[in-house]
Amino acid sequence: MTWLQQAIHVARKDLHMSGWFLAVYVFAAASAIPAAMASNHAWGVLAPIAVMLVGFTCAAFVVQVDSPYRPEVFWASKPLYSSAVWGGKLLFIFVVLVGIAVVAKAIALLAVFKLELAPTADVLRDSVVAYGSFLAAALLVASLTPDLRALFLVCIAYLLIPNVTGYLIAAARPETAAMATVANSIRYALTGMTVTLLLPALIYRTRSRKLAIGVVVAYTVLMMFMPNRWLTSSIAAEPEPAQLPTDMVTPTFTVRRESRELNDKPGRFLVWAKLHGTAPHNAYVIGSIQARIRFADSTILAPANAEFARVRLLNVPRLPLVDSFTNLQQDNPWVGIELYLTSEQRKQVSDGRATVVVSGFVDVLTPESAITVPAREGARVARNGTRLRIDRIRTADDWINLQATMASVRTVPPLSDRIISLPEYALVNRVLGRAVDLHSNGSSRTGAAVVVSGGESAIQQLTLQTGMPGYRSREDSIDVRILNGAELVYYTWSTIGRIPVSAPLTITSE
Amino acid sequence: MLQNPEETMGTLEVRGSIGNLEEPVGALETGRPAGDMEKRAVLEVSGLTHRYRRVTALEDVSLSVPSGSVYALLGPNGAGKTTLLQILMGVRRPSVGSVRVFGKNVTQLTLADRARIGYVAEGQELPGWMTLQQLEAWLAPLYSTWDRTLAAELRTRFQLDAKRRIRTFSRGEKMKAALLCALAPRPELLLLDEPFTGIDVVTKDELVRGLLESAGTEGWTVLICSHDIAELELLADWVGFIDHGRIVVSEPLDVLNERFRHVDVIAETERGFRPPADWMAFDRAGPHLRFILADADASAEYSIRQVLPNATRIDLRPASLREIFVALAGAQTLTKELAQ
Repeated sequence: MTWLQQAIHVARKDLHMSGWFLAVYVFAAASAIPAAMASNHAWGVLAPIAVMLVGFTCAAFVVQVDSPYRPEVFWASKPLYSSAVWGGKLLFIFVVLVGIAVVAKAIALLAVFKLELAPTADVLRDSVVAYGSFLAAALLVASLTPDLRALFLVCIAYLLIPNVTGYLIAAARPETAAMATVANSIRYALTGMTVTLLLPALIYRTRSRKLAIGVVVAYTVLMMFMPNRWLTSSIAAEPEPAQLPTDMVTPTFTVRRESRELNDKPGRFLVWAKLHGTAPHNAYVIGSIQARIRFADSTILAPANAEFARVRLLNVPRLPLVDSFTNLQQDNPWVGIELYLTSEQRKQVSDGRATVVVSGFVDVLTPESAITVPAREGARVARNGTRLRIDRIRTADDWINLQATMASVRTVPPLSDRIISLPEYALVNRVLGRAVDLHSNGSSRTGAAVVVSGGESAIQQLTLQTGMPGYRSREDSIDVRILNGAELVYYTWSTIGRIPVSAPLTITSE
Repeated sequence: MLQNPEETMGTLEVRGSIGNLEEPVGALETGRPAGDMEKRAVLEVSGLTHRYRRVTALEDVSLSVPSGSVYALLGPNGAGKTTLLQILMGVRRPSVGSVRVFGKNVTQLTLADRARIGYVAEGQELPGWMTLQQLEAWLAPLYSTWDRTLAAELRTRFQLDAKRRIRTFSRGEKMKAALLCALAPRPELLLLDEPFTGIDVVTKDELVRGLLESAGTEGWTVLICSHDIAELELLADWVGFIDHGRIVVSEPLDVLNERFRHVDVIAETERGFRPPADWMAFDRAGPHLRFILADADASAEYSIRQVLPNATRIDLRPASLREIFVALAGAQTLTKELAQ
């Protein structure tokens, strides 16, 4: 038998062996298709998790049955290429398991979401990569563990250890990185595709788990301490020639009054920073920022509470109105960073014997008109992987409320880690030349995944209205005549760049 | 390169396949090749050491198994037999030393070479979800020499139900199934680690005879570890004794039988009598003294009389393999204890 024949021989055996597992897996994947529509149903969230868990377990099971390192395994004494056994596992995982999930997802996206072929294909491609990586992780962990119990213990450790290690490193070396960054870089290291796929091959080849564990540890340590710039890349914030906001200009430093009253105790100081030269039609979101104080005796203070990324929207734009594309609002362009100083440290700062450096990075986002639909009940439109249907419109004297359903495979990145969400909807009346932002409320998404992870896709039941839902102020009052002949416009936000920012602080006495 | 079995075993009587087991065991013994080390060695181990963290499982092991021979590897539990066989099969990598199978480094064996090796071990995992029929069908394409007729004969002989899932087999049936899978490709080298575990006496006897026959007729080389010393004595023409990871003895059985003598003595001895150090497995019941004497030659009786001048009877006979094993195991333990 050739190598490929052997790999197929092994994969066929695994296919036959995992009959019950596969039956459960197919059932879970099939049930996840209608569950994708059941946006208010718990199964809509649980089904993708079930599919992925069963898939993970099934992948691990077939690998552990033919463990690469245990001497008792049956294949080890048979005339099989060790790499063909590994190849068989890859075939089973990527053709059978990923294949079933992707077919189910394709059915959900095409039949249930009724989305176009091209964006569906994009999502499926993302799913193959994301879900394939997930199952490749199962392949790796299963290669290093003797049974499912050990596998799940390792998985729990995988979830816990990066966080604990990240916390310890961040606590010991505040200047290194935020805990979340460390934890993520550990996860990044452990799930690196190359290592994940090639390491089991190495174990099958050498039959040495010790060597493999050594490689994992070395790779993880290497990736943990690798400079962040090796892991990420920045792109220009503006494709057009424009003034790039590359400097954090910090005009003032304020010592809060209450801190002066606590002479003998550590006092709270706030460093205020502002981003200047921002493009008006972009949103600016602080990804991470910290402030350090260098004192006259060369000691550096990087307070623990400043280690955590203080994620905050710097520049809240209004959506582009009609033809002009201008932010009408620049809310809260300042960001505050907390520092806790002893009275002696505070005195040094006040006396100008210390310098403060603010550094971090800012993500730049730009809005894009994704979809436009006439603002009337029953209107529907599909474009670029998004379907929007207006179910109901209610109006009052100065208030408009729309109920809508949206299915999309191009949703914006999750904004849950941002304090302020970006506006996404507007009513635009081109005849009147007027527009108004819509606040969304009561939107319920399906789970983060449809059938399996990979590719953004979601169904939302939307409640859109002028003014904050449940709270109507005079400022929110609008002329409801805007509704006649208006369009509902949905915008998506894309991150177009990440700007490192750093600036020394000019200290002024309070 | 392994010699043609007919050339290697040219002087042997041809006795048919393993499935044809009518002849009594005793008749086969004469047909076994004597321990001729001049024959090309199928297995050569030199300076092999293997460690599990701090535990040394094998230490400087060297042995050679000639083509066509049946080599019995004896040793107490934990002596390193299983580890040695796993290394010979290539399922475990040695820490230090050289292991050559069919003249090649064990790590360099091609698939064709590996297909010439049959391996059965206690604790070896079988795909329990398969029926035996499915297992045979899965294995057959991996071997160009897979003999379906032999597989069917073995299945009948072992009374194995081909349509039952292997996980429903008893321990003995699983071992038989493993043996079937190892024997059906007609391997040139068989590595058997406790192959008789859980197998009933009748089947064991048949198996021993079958192995013996095939070793003779097919030119198979067999390396077998087992606690069934009686069976091994029927099978083996070479014997190795391993203890605490070291090979203590490795020589042809007939030479071993000649070298080790079981001694029965009737003599009155004093209460605090201490036998000489080379009297192994010494046992006393009143005036009856029993022990095993290594390297016994014509002067052995004279030497015994020197120690026991009042002996009224001294009987020396070739020691059985079991007696040698017990004596060697006891001697090794004593040596270890003294060393400590």
